[in-house]
Amino acid sequence: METLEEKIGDVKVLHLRGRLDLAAAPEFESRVKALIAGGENRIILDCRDLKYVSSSGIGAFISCGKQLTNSGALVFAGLTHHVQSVFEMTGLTRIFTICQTKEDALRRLESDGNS
Amino acid sequence: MTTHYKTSIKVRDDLSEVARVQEELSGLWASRSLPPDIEMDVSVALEEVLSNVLRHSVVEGGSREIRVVFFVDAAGFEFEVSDGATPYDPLSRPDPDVSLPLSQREAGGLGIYLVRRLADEVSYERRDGRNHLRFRKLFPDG
Repeated sequence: METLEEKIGDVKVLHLRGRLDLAAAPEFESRVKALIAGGENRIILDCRDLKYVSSSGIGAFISCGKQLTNSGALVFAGLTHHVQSVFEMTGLTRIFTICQTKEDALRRLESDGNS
Repeated sequence: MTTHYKTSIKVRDDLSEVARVQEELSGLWASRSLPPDIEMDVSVALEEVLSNVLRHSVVEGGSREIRVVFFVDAAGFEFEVSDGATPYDPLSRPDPDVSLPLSQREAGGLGIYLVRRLADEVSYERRDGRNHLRFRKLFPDG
């Protein structure tokens, strides 16, 4: 899996591309946890080009989400049909904020930050 | 039910084999023009079942002799993962509670649960001294 990173204001955006499988999940999880340890606490995972996620990827999302403090936010954007269905089956739609697009996610974080 | 296509793949005792078998699946999907809508679901189920065997199955001496068989018929696709390890039915494990809040969720334990949810039919059988896990996905209508 390829991960492209950008910073928009105080929000870190990771654009995930390809397959988040058992081979890719450990490196992805380490990277996100390093970002959190480095002070990033508002993170968007842009999944529009993520075409595959297995339980290893779902586990990495849960583990990263738990690492964030209460003031932090891990928001998902642009889930493909397959990824959305895996999120629903594993209960991730209940525990994470999911937006249609990266722009929606940015607006969501901005409004949360102002409230 | 008439099987239109069947292929058998031997799997070495190495986790990197999962990606190779998934590539075989992808090749089959393309060459037989199978419905793209369900390919990723089947591929995930294959990763979960095969990695579960590779990581957790126990054998006393020798190889586990893991084998994957793909079947295609008019109505759907099936794969069967079999191994010569000690008897173990992964479907006997209780489902995780996916309604818990994030603070109480565990990162692991979701693989076989996901297989169950992704399948139209899934079954375990101990036959001829081997574990057989069979997963079936029906093709979407039309």
